[in-house]
Amino acid sequence: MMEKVVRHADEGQQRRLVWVQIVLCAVGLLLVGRLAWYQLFGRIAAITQSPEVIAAVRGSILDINGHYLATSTYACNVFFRPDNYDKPDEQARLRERLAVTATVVAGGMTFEEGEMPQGFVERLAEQLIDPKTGAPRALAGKLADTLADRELLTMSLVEEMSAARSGRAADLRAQALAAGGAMDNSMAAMLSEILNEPLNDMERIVAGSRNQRHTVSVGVAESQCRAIADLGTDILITEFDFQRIYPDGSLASHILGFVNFAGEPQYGLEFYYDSELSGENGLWQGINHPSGSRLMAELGGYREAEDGSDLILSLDRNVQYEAERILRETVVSSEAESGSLLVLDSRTGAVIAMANSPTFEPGRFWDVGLETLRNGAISTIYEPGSVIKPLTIAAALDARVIYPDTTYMDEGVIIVGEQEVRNSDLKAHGETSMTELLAYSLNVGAAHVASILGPARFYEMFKRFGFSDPTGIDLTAEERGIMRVPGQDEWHLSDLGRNSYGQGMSATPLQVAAAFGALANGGMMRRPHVVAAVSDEAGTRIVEDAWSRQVVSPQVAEQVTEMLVEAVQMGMPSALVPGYTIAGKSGTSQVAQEGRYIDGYYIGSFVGYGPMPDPRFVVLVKLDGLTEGQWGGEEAGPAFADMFQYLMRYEGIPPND
Amino acid sequence: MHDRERLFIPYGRGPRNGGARVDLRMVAFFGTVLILLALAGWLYLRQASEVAALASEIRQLELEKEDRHRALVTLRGEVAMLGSLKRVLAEGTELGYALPDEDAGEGSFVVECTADCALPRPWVGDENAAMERAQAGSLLWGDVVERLGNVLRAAFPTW
Repeated sequence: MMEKVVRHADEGQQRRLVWVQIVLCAVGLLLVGRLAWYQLFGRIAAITQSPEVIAAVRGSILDINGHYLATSTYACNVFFRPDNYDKPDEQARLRERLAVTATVVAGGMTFEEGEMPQGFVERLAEQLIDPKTGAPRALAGKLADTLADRELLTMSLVEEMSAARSGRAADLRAQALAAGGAMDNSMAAMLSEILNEPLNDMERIVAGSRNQRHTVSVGVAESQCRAIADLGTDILITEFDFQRIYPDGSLASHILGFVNFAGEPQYGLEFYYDSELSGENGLWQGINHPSGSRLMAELGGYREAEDGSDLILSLDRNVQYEAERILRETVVSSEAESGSLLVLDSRTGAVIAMANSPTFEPGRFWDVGLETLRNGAISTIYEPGSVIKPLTIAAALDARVIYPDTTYMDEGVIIVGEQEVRNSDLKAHGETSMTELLAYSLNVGAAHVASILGPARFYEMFKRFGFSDPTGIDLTAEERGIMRVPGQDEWHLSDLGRNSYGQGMSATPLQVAAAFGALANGGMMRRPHVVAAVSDEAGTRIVEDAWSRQVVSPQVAEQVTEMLVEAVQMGMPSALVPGYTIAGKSGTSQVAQEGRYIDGYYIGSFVGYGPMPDPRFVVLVKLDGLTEGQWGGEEAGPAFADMFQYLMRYEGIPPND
Repeated sequence: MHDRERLFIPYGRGPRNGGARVDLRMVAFFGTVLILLALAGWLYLRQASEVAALASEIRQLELEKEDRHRALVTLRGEVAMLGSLKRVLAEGTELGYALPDEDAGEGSFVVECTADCALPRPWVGDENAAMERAQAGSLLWGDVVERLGNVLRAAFPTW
């Protein structure tokens, strides 16, 4: 019996042990399995968030000497919230802080460190002090006087900070602030002076629409931004972001273009080279803490941003500045509507300066109309007029239908394609040389030469000079010009006559300058370009010439140059540059509208190159909107001379006359 | 069958009064399993902790890198503004500099000088000035020689 009992007890024990074993094994397998799952396949997918973009910084644009023309900075935008401004308690809080800070600064009050009065904003106080003299700015006194009863507020501050406080400080302060005047003007004045914005703009913003927030200032320096942020008000909002800045204001604005509020490039180099300038944004994807902060990136979830490449231009900031100054003054003195001034390096096609008037500030592109944003040097076509005559002669010389000593009989009129062509002075000049043709700008002579050359060779040569094709300059919105050619329905033989002296066809100032560049460079024409090199972390690579072509032979280029040198001295004295030998041609053309030329509206220009015997620079000046009696040589010629003289001085090229 | 075989315990005698029999080998076996599991768990937790700490450190470095990058960009912006033409002109004016007079014309730049050029090369219209400079130069040289001679005579009177 006992043995039976023992046997049962043993069996029960055995079963319990077996169950223990099974449970332990199961637990063990569960743990190991879970560990294996996490190690090999596990993802805590539930708390992984969508990728966060790491912004790339836009590349800079520098001139040939390494000066920044456009760059990016990490700066602040300040916004004004009129809806919060209209809330009494918000406005009262802002008034108190402005009034207290201004009163402290204006009164020269000092306090122990750490014992500043309530409402005092230290960073704002720094902005109210002139950094050069250490004295309070006038703004401090103005704010102190207008936002509160200054005397009462001063008493309250003294009371607050004195050792024996009587408890009246709060009452005095409340009375002082209640006695203050309207806040609008003070607000505008404060924003204008601290953020360096026009006062009337600030007044307009403060009084403006209540339904939206207004941009007060962009690209604000950090110190000013922190001062505004420290006011601790929802009326003025500060946001930091990468900003595009243009340190030289409106300098070279048409070349640079700009970046709009949405960060989209518009016009110029900003648009043309956007892929190089914009770089590539980075990415961060990983695990977040429940509070939102990033914990760690997933494998392969971090890619750092690649900042944009920098552009190094062939442009020289100093020459550009001078070009814009000369053009601006010339447009004013000649009462023209607008103008362009180009300086090219004839040996390379590099653009050293490209100025247009009127101009704009890329950082304030919204201040001007669309028309002003256009780069007139490449986007506006015009009938070049008499500046084309040297090219007609060059084409004929190259075809050997005339020679440098060829003459013709100028009878004051010639008929080409049943159309009469007359000289601008309506005179007959008798036996005339090619040089005299250029010196006196004789339309009859040009048409005569073109007739001898014939339409086929004339237009072939002009195509080689680049007319009716874009030059391919690395800027946006380049026009190609218009030149009807044989074979087109619109072409007529009379076009040959007109085109020979630059009418009945249109071109951009750049096309004309580039064509003259060929004459200056031994007949070799080079593609105009603005960017000389692109620089990034991998290094700096030079931008190679896209194309160059021999338009006329070097001998022909030299012959035409000699003619132009003599022609300038004979007929265009206003363009002469003392001490230097230059070649050039003036032009005065009309503007066609709806099939007829506008009366009393002219475009005057002068294009030239030098210095001889080794010309380096081509300079073109064009003025739009000249009136009857104004000639290109007389209005644009002096500007050419000024620009050329500056170039010689700047480059250290001594006189050779 | 013997009791030991039924219970598949290789050895060990339990009490005949029905009490539990403790098999040391089984105890050791399961104890080892538990220890190994605990060790694996500890290793995993430690590794996960180290990874998390490292990831946090990496994240801090990333943030620091981004901060420094922003600071660099800000500095570059300041450099650009400091080098702007407007500032250069303003500071230059304050320091007393002025842009060259546009009527200065010839003679307002440095002229290249060849190796044998001892004096500035004259240019057109300024021949008199060049002659005056040449004369002044010779006078100056004469003056230097005379002074040197005086010094030598004073130093060595017996020569």
